[in-house]
Amino acid sequence: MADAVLRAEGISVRFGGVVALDKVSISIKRQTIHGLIGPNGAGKTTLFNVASGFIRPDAGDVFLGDDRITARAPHQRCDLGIGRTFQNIRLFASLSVIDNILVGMHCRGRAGTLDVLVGTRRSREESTLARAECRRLLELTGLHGLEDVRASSLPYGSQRRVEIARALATKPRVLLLDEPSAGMNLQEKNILRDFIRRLTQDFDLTALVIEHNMKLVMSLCDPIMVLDHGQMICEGSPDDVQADPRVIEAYLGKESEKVGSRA
Amino acid sequence: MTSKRWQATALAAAGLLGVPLVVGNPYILHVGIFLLMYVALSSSLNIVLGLAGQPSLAHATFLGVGAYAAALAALRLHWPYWVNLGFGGVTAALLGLIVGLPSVRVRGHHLAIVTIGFAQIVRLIEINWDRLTSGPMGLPGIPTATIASRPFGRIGFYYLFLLIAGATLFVVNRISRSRIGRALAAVRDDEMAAEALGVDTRYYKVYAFVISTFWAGVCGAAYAHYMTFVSPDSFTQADSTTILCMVILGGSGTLFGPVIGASVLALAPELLRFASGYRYMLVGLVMVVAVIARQSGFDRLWKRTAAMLGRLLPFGLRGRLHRNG
Amino acid sequence: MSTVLQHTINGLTLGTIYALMALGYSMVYGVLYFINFAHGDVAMVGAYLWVVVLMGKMGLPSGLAILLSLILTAFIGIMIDRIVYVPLRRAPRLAMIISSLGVSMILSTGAEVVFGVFQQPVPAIIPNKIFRFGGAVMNLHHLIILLVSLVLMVGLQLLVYRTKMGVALRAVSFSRETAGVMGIDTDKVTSFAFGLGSLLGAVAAIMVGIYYGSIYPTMGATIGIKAFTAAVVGGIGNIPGAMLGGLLLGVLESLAGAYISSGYRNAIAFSALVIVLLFRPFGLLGSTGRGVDRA
Repeated sequence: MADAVLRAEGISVRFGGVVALDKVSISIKRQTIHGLIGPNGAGKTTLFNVASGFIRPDAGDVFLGDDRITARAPHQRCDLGIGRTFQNIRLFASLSVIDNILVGMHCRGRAGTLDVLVGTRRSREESTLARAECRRLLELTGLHGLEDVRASSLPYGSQRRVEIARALATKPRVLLLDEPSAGMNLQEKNILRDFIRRLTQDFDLTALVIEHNMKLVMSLCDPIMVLDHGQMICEGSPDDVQADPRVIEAYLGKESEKVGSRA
Repeated sequence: MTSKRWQATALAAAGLLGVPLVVGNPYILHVGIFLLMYVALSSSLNIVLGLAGQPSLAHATFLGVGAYAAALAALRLHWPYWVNLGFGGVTAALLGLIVGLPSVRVRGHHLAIVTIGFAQIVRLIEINWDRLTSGPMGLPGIPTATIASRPFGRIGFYYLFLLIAGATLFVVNRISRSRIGRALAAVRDDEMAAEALGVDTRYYKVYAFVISTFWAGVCGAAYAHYMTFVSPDSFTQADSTTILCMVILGGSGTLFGPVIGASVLALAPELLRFASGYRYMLVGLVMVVAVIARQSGFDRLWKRTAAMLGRLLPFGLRGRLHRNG
Repeated sequence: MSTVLQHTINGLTLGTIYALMALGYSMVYGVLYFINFAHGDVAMVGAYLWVVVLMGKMGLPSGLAILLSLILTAFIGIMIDRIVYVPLRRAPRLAMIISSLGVSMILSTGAEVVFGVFQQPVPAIIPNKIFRFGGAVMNLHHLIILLVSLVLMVGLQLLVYRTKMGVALRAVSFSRETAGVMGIDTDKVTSFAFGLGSLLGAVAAIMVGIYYGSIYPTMGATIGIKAFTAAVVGGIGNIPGAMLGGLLLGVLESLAGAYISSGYRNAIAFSALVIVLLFRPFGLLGSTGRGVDRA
């Protein structure tokens, strides 16, 4: 029980007549990197949205540790330790890189209006500490020197890194990464893979990763969960998942006999 | 702050403070007073529009609410002007709270329309609730502000509005460079991401409205004591649109943009001695031209000019909170 | 009981006027997803053209004058689109709202300068004939307004659903890009929408003139915002919605004005606007959004 950092039980989500998720349950253990794969439209991002609070499930509950957080708003979940990135990068386009990351530090700060107007010691100290922490994150993600660059003018790969740095700034216990390697070349993907691994170890972090790139998922994640049409059809180690006939069918249809077991 | 900035600040401050001592013509002082008022109004609108990105087309309504609150407090309760300044601000802020609440659910042009609808409702109340507001006739005879039993006069009000404008700019500056300002900018740029990062978007949207309308209310109270007369026609939709235009024209999201915008739109009709009938036509024309020009790339020229001016004076934004849209 | 009927009839008459103007908003919104705040003022210009220029200055007979003013107003609407809105096709929505507010200010102030601030009386072109039924009184005006509106609305429905241009309109409204790819001249369709919308607005403004006996330069804002409310309440971009919204608003306003308070009758419109936008931003006949913000 104490092992599962993030847990969802029996999540069902319906949009009008379409069933997006059908009684999906997941249990994510500390310091593991879970993979979440499935064909397009399987419901992966929907599950993320439920976990991070943007969608209220029609049935089922979400637990962070022992807390039932199903009804909590997204910004509250951030306080509790859920961080996430988005499939289409959602940076604050008009802000600089460091300001983007500083927004991540928002929930860890306390300075209020009065502090800000008067310039109390608390607000100044907080500000200094926050900036130092941001610089550290910039170093960590290989972005140092790009502090004051406007976020929208960075190349795609760098923008992804800013997004991850920003999510890290919230000091999460669980990090939900939605297709973090999209748009990256092979070398960048490998760097990303090692980076995520290091993060979970150094920061006592747990990660849930949605990915389409199979090589990355198989080499990075264990266990892996497979969604298809809103249902969890398989959960297990990379080897288990690759060999599972239901998974193969979901991705390739009945062609599986001809193409072989490589998903 | 570098010494160059200190010098520039000192110069600007001396200049502004010295105006009434140098200028004898009461008409010019009057124009100056209105300029300062519009500076305060456009800067406070900037908090909601430029920083938080919520289209509010009813700012003059809050000016009016503050003015009526102060007028009524002065006439019925005999409160002194300095209490009324606060009272006007608080009343406007309460109404700002009410208008801010829909902004939580409603976005973009829908929100713009809600604010317009709200403005019309308030105006109708001003016209129809005779007992309170004495209707379309307005409230004349508001006692002017006095200090040590001597009436302010034009000069006194100039300094009062200078104080208000300065305070508004100070608040906008401090907020925009802080954690709060970043949260507002995050709400503006991408609400979903902001929520995911722990920013309570609902709270901050309402916050932006409350802070900005408070200052509009303070201006209104000062206006009431200066003009000694308020009526529903003193604060119309066209005025709200004009203030909006000042923000957009000058550049929303920068500190001095609205100041420039206010200067242009408040001074131009006076300088060119237009008949008041043409005034709003000019504003409309400027709006249209400005919006089209910005779209066509005069944008960057404008931004650079505004940024340059901002660097000259100490409160310039160090390019951190760029404007959007 | 008869007074309720009377007020309802008045309300319906007023309502069809609002509906026509609301349709004008919807036409433009349908193709551009933008609310043209200058719509009411363009309509006002149409009414002034009719009364002052064509009938007054040029002494044309009223029927011909109406026809010409409608054509001219349609043209003006198209020109405004070409000059002001086309450069802003790629701009954020707020920019278009602001520019349309600017155009509105230019038109209404311009009309004040040219035609004077006061009300302009409209010559009575419809003879005064009274019909009685069920204890209510209906003037020939009412009847003609209702009939004309009905004809126009039916005509519009036919146009949108039975003609090639109608198909094009619906296609552009659904997806501008796809329509363009399919070979539809989106600019031509947009201009048509502006022209037709402005024409409908002008009809509405002229009817207002006939109904009340006078017109004034700032009527664009007054009628415009009510019609706009009607469009939004019904579901903007939506033809049956605009009609429903207009009629509903007209009747509500008429009844409220009679039984609650005459000063606040406009407040009904604005309150309805605010309430609908808060709870059903896509209008009564539109759909509600759900869940995740897809912005």
